[in-house]
Amino acid sequence: MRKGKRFIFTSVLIALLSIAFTGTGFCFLNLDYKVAGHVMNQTVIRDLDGFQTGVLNDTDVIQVRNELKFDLTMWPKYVIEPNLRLDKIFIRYRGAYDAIFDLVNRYNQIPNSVRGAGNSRYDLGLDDVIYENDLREAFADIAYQSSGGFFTNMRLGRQIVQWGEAGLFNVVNQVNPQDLSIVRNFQNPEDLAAPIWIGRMDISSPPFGMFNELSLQLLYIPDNRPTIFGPNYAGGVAPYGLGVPGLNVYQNDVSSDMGNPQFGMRVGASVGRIKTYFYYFDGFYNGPALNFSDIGNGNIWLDHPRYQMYGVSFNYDSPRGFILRGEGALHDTMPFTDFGDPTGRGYTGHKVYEALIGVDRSFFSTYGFPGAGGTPLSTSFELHYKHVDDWDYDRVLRNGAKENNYGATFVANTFFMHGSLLPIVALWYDFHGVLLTSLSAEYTPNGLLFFKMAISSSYGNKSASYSPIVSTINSSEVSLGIGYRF
Amino acid sequence: MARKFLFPLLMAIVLGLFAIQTSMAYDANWEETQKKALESTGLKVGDVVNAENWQKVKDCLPFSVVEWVKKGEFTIKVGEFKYDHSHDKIYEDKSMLNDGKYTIGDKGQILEKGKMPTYMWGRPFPVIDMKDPQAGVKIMHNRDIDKHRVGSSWTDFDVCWISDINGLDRYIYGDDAFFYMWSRPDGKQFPNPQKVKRYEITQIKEPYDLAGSAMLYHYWMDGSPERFVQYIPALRRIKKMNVTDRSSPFFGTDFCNDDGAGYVGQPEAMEWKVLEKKIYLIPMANWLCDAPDMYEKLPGGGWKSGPAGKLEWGYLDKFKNEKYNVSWMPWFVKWIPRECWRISMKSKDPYYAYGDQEMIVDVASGAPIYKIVWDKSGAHWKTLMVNSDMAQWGENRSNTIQVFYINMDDKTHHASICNARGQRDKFYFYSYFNIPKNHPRIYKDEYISTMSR
Repeated sequence: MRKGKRFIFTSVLIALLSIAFTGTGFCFLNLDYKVAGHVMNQTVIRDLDGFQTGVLNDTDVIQVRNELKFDLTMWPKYVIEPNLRLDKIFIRYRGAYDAIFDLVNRYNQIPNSVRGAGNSRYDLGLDDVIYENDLREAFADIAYQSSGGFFTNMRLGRQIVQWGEAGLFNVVNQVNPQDLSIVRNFQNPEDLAAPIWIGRMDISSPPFGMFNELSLQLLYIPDNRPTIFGPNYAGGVAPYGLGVPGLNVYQNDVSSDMGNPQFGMRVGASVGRIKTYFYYFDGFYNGPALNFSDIGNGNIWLDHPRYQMYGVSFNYDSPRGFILRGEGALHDTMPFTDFGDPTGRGYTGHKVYEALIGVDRSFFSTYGFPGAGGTPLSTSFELHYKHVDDWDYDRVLRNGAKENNYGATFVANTFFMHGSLLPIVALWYDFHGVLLTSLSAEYTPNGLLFFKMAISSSYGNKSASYSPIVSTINSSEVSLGIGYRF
Repeated sequence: MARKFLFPLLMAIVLGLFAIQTSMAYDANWEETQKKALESTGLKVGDVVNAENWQKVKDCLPFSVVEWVKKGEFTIKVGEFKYDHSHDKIYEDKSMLNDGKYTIGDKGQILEKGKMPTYMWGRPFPVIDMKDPQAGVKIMHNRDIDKHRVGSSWTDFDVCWISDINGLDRYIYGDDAFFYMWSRPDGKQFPNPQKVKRYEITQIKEPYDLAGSAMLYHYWMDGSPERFVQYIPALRRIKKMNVTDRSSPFFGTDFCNDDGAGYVGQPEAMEWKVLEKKIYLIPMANWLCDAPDMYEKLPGGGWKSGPAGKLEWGYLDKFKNEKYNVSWMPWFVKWIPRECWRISMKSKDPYYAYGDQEMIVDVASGAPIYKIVWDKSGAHWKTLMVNSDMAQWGENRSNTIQVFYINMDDKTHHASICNARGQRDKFYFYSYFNIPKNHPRIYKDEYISTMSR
């Protein structure tokens, strides 16, 4: 990791200095800059057995998080803009204090300072979830524009890259891992993603022939970061730990160095009303493969085997008033819990085929909505299919998935009071018999002060262990937020 | 008997000559034209019209604006131009060469000898016959091309939510960039295999939760529905938007996407019909009454807008004691009588949120001034009011940028204002023409996805 970081830092520094001394009319002191951000408090109440067995009848407050987040963006000012130039520097900071760990003593047994004790840097301790002090993103954009109409942008630094067209499913969106240590699903997607160090290059062509645009994105990723969970130890489990009481859960992540970088490539083509991307990703599985080989010592290890993904996505805007979009992917090997695994790890790798089709459509209701006539109701529907190759479901040995899995999502949003009140409804139905629901609303009277409320709950067949969302049945949540933007 | 026949014939010829006239602009006798327009309204320069004498303007403002004056919300100060508020003579002469060259196709598109032209210079329809059933769409095509002649523009803007009770509720601030492929100022074409008529990028910079959002539009020469994508920074993705979102509210404001500058959509997307030509009072920022906006040449190429005044809206404390005021009253404008087209418009898209609409267009400058909107039940809904910025850059004079426009929702008594020239609070809104960074190479999905984070 350190070597990777050093490489990126050195590259950025050399690039910036080179451009600074070659760019016409450039002066480092001549920068435009902008600082903007928010402070907010979020309180989360969890129904410990889920709404299915009674709404808010067994609750705990699990988060009282006070957050400062801000962006610093800097743009060099050019008298005459050179073709090769430093275009922008972007820094995002997020710091937080979660008071729940000082207000209650049920988390006191979670160990502190775990990361400094020879463990993976992604094994979090109590201190890591009480405080956050994170330079989440820091990158520089170096642009090159050719007279032929090509545009090249090199983005170097810690950043987020999101691929694909899907909303709630990650079919081809494999680049950044998720940080689930402090938040749950249905949060802002960029807050869920864990930024990583990436060298990224985007090249786009001028229109020619039948193409509006051809594009190429190349990613070099020396930062191997897994999906991050809250602390989960035999002594105690944090609110957003993996949820395995009585056991220690440790990351077995791949070191971040020049010896095992990840790669990504995306090729895009836009023709008329159709836009298509093709993807290739060679990296480490971010989500954990649960390794039970050390279970005798009370430990579960989270493995991250290497895999390759070949994907495609498209979108088409119909003149008839809807957007059709889709994704497909082949993952050459993905780990699934398998207690019949002869190696004793408790998981085996399988080819996985995934496909998704989605439709977006806005509806207008000129009458009946308060606040503004003509308020649109924007809706999205997605159907997802996942096939696990060479997989034989077994109720005891291989109960974490089935060979063929179907899911569907529906998201609708609108606004009231001239855009001051923004409600969103999201539903995820897993065809194994589990429905996950989320209702949220944000109200801002003046664009600066804001209030948020979200309710997340799931219902259905608790014994459907093969459903990816079955674990959410037992923990519904209500979150309340208040904040101020600056 | 012959006399009886001759008189109506002569009258018909005279009226016909009035009806068929150049749609163009440059007027060597503009002072006399302005004087006659003023006389026809019975108003004098310096007159102040409000709820006490609203009858004075009842025939020279749209009915909804008359209602605002009558209710005591608007105060009309009558003014005049000190210059010819229209396009330059060179442009008119070039445009006149197009007379008879172009026709309108079955979809409302421009045709040249039955085929779609790949380039044109000057107004395609320099002569408008009011009786021509296609006069409306021709006027709107002319307006499109008038905007194109600057080549490209880059403008700061904000959009403010204004309520009667609280005044300025909130705002968004950003940039709006256009690149035009037809009627470019140098008469030169750019490679254009996709037959794009114009590109547009709108980028939001404030507030924090929306900052970084960017919208990219491709408007096609054949008038087919545009391509519309949006970069959503919270998702870090480009999202394809649907053409029906043209009538969807812009970030929850009273504007829909098509309301920019009066109407920023494709002329082909609407049915247009000229209803009449009459004198209307048009709103004009004080600093544009005396002289056009004098653009200065930039050393790195392109032009930058000249000095402009303060955008003083009725919600400011200094107007709290005004007897006839409302939060969205533009106190920095004068109202000048001008000859305008009144044109009905209706979307061809059955899913469009608006019902019937009417557009009031200044004949000489070609700029939309008012748009009246009814909902699909036929009830009056909104009134859009536009003040275009008459720009002078070098020998050229045209209006492509707006000083401001307001969309007033008469159902909810709420308004949204877009400011694009002048100063509001900490913001000073500039416009730039033909700056080097405004190039077709930036109008790409991949570019807007790296404009912010």
